[in-house]
Amino acid sequence: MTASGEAIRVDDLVVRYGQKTAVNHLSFSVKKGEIYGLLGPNGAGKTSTIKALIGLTERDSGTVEVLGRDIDSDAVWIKGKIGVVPENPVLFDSLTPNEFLELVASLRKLPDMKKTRSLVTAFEFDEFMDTPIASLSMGNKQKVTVIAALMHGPEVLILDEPFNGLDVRSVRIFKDLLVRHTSGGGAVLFSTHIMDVAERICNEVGIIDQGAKVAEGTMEQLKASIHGSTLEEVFLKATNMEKEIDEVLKALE
Amino acid sequence: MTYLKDANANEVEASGADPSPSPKVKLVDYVARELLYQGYVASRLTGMTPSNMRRAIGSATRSKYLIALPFAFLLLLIMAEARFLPLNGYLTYPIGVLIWTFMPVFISVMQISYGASAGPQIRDTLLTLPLSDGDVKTVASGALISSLKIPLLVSVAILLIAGLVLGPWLMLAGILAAVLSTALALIAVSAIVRAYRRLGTNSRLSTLIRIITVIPILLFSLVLGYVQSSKVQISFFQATYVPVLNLDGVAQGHGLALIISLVYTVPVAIVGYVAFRRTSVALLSPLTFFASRRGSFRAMVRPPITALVLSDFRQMLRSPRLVGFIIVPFIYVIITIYSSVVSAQSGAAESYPALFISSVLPVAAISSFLAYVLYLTELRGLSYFMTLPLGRFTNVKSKLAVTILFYGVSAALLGVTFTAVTGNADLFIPIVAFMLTVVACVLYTALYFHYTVKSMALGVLGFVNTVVYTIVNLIVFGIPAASFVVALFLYGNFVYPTLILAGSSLIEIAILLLLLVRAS
Repeated sequence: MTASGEAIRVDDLVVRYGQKTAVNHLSFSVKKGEIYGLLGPNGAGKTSTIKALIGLTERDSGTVEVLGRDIDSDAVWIKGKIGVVPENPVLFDSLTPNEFLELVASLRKLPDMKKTRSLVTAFEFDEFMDTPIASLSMGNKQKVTVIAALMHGPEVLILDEPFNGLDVRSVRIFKDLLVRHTSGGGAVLFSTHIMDVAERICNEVGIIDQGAKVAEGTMEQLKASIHGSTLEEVFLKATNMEKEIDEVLKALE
Repeated sequence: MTYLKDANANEVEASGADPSPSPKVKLVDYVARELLYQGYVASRLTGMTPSNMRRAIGSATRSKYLIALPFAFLLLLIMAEARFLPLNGYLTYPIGVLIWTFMPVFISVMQISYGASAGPQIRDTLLTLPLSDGDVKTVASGALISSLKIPLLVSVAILLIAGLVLGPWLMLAGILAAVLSTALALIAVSAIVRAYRRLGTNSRLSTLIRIITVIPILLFSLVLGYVQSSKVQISFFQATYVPVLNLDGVAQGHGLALIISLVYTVPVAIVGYVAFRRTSVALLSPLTFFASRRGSFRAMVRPPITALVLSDFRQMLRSPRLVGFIIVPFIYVIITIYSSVVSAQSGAAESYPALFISSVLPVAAISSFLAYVLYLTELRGLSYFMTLPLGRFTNVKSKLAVTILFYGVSAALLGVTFTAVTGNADLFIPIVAFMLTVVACVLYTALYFHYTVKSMALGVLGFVNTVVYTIVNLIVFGIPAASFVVALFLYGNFVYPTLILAGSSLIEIAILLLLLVRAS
């Protein structure tokens, strides 16, 4: 059972693809009112972790609880409480955003579309509402998934590289919405490789490498324990990349 | 871009802007393999990650055999008919080859380009290589034709066997028919792709026109099927001078018929290749739709099942690949109604049981597979769909609603026509009862997709899965249908057979519901 105040609890998660172990006995928790950043180099297992969390990838072992409920036994309830932005938004391409958001809102049984309408206006998306999703740019597709993730006022947001392709204005609005969401008691789990963003908005960070957790804590804790002045330095030290980068740069000289 | 990465390296190695033939041939091979991967491996469509790439590619290859083998079987049947029923066999043989070469080529190109159209990777990669526009078109068309090699090789092998068994003139007629139909299939694909791209807006009018572009292709097959099945006796003039029909003359060894058939087959083959070459790059590009009006927020909340049904229909009608699944049965219904009315007018109306078996039964059988198409439609965007809070039976209910509506409208049209023709409304009793059989098939399909989606981490629709689905669905449909037909011949009226049909369907429904509840 999730400890009081925990929105997400992952225990001893293992995900394997054939012979390859993508997530290796990973445990972490995200508290209510917190933005938890899941950081790691490419192929570290961030996306696999998030997919396992929302049931898109089968777990080999481990448990996942969201808002105190088990993902295996209460998947539908949990999916009603969360908003998800996947890494590669593969959507129903021949639908327009109007039709897609209508489908999502209808399946989520929203009472009305007021909040969706205000999100569409906030992201300046009105003019694209009748353009089939296949014809949208990557950034605009990302806006569709962001609006779909926020439209029902979820308690927990699970976001995989959510700022991919978004313009500066949209990133700013989205970041502020995330901060406002957590200050109202909501929780956010998001993966990113943009250290600046993570440093600015995350309350707690977990760094994973080769599927396993190599460091975890608040910014201050990580900087103190790993002796880095920025999150980037902390990240490179924790994943043993600093020396490797120096050697590569010397070889390039 | 698994394979194209390597191909790119080869191109970079080739010095100068004009690559030597060897890298170009290699590039065709790489693109063909990439097409196979993207056309059949569902990961690019669903957003799911294939966990075992080798298994995924193997499954994709076997899927091609799955398409080719039934057509090979049909060609063999046509050959056997030509050999053992020589009175009408000569004409049916070339026409049969024409149809059953056209269909696999047409279906394969549409299938493969559907996967490729999900993303711009292949086209973009080709355009970044040091190749002229002409070379890009050659590589694209070469790769697409190369991806058809399994169905084409099957046709060639069967025709060569035909040469040994039936003699050189029949083989020649078969080869001419195969060349002609391959070219016609390529022209048809080019025409559809051009129509879809030129009318790429999401207005209702564009959707209607796009649907209409598919109809001539279907009518072509139906007309040829009619000519083949009606055992037409043709005159010497037709067997010599009339295109397509004079393949009969070729089969009988007329030299003039051969010359005349070459006169139209060669240009059609050239036009087919040129049209296909011109369209090939478009075939490897994303199918883009444009907004038919300036955007505005108009989304509204609907009941979940209505929203799912609407979304399924919208996606099917906008897909050149899936729209045929809706149109074919309706064309079949219209033709059946027409032939019933004509038969009645000529005083040759069939008996009730025969009428039912030859008309309503096929519509029910087609309807039993509709849920499969609807679920396939949903695979696009599956990874997002799976994050939504769908109740255990919400999606099943929406598939039931569409299938019952589809079967209900088709069967009711037939029922009304037969009642008008025969003055007897008895046929409506089994028509309604068959709805239960169709419901059982939808429940089975839901169960199948429940387990398929669970194993979609592999990112591919497995070959064995598809075969198993088809066989089991035929059994689920076949048990009540066969019981009904046997009872119909035993009793000669609809009362007991309908009771048996309804009873066996209800037992199936109960078992499948139980399995579905336990699975979800």
